[in-house]
Amino acid sequence: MGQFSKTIIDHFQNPRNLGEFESCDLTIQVGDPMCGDKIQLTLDCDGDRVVRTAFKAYGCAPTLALGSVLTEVLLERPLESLEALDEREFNALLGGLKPSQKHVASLGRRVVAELVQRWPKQDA
Amino acid sequence: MQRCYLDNNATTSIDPRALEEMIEALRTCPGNPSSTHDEGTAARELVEQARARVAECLSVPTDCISFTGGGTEANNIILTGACLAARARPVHVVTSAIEHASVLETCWALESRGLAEVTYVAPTRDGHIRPHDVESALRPTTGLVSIMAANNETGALMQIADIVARAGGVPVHTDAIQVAGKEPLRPAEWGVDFMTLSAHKFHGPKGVGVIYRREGAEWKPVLHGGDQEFGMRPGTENVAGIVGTAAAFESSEQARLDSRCSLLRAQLWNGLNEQLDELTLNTPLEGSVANTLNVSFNGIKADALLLALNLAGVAASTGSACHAQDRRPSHVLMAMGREEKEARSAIRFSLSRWTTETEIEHVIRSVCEAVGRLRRFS
Repeated sequence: MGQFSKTIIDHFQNPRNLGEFESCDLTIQVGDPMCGDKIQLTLDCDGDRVVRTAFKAYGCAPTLALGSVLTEVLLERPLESLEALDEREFNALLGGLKPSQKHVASLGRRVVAELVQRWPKQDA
Repeated sequence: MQRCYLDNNATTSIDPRALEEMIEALRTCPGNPSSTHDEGTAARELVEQARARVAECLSVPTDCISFTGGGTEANNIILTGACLAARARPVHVVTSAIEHASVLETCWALESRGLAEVTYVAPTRDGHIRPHDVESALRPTTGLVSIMAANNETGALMQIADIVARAGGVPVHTDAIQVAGKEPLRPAEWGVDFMTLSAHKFHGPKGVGVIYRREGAEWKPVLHGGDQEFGMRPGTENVAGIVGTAAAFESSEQARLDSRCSLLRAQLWNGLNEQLDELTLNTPLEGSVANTLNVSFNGIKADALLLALNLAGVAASTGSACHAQDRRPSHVLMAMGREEKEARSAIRFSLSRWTTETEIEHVIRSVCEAVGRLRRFS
């Protein structure tokens, strides 16, 4: 199965946190106009942490796997660490992307950038 | 897990008789067909016998057949060579918007070099090119019409004889790569000037193409450096490959796809259509080669479905294997008026003469399971 990493196949076959919440703090939707891929995240945040998240996605197998990987990363890391996520790290998180799959790392970075920008303001 | 291969429009498994003859040629015939010694003469004999065998299958004179290094090369040689031979500069070419990249991109190259002006005829919604539309595109400067005999993505068959009749004497080329072994090939009856084939699409070896060139059809050399293959394809012949091509072509013409293949395709389509909703049929079941079924599974991106099927032991494709890494939707389906999302969700299943009912049952089960699972993602 040379075309896809083991990580991509694992998350593609066994997606974590697939779905959406009706009531949540934040909904993020980011797409890639070139190939039509899309990721939606619903999230609840507490302070600098994501405490609950789920994803929906449309796209190629690496994009579907990205949705699943993203939810795990968001639940593990504080806001400050998320800000530092770049395409190289997404490439690693997905077990390595082929040249034709690099757009998925870019999509991941854009999802996180959108999340950081729209992070819910905390009550004083 | 047993694999089920339904990607025969991309390539086919080698015909056992072709393999046997190729091994024999490689083992016993080391000579260069252009050499005059006994080893060269023996190799020449094999090449000429292969030429005669292919010509006989096509009911054309032997000298009308040339071998090349593949179907893409054959299309490049014919399109470029016919444009070079035309009197008008730039020459006008009529082709279709749904040709294989080996025709389309050659046309783009000819345009960019100022050698040709090209009209790309649009298909109907079911993927056919109307002969009347080809006729309407003709100009006084038209020097070549190039229309494929069957589309590689949808299987839609074109009315080549009718197109020739309406071409008003303009030379006609047909890329018949997806027709060999599926429907009768009669270039002389159709009246085409040029026809191209690719051996690995009819259970022959990869890396061998076939050109039919009508006697007297005007053409100028594109490649230089030898007079092999009547100057059409200079370079030492791939003797074993050419022998294998002839053997595979004979076998495929004798065992051409029949009603059994149509029934298997109908079984596949009916099985999918009964169990899944939101499907778009992209193959005109009446008027197509019997082995091809192209379906859009709306709501899913085809690449994801392909991986799920591959993991379930099923090999299919999103369209042209030559563009499998391309992120753009199929130019064929877009030209047919499909929505971008429909085009991005299309899978092509292409059967062979060895596909079985049991395999089709497995494919139906695998597709239904995968589509159900993947639709939950979005």
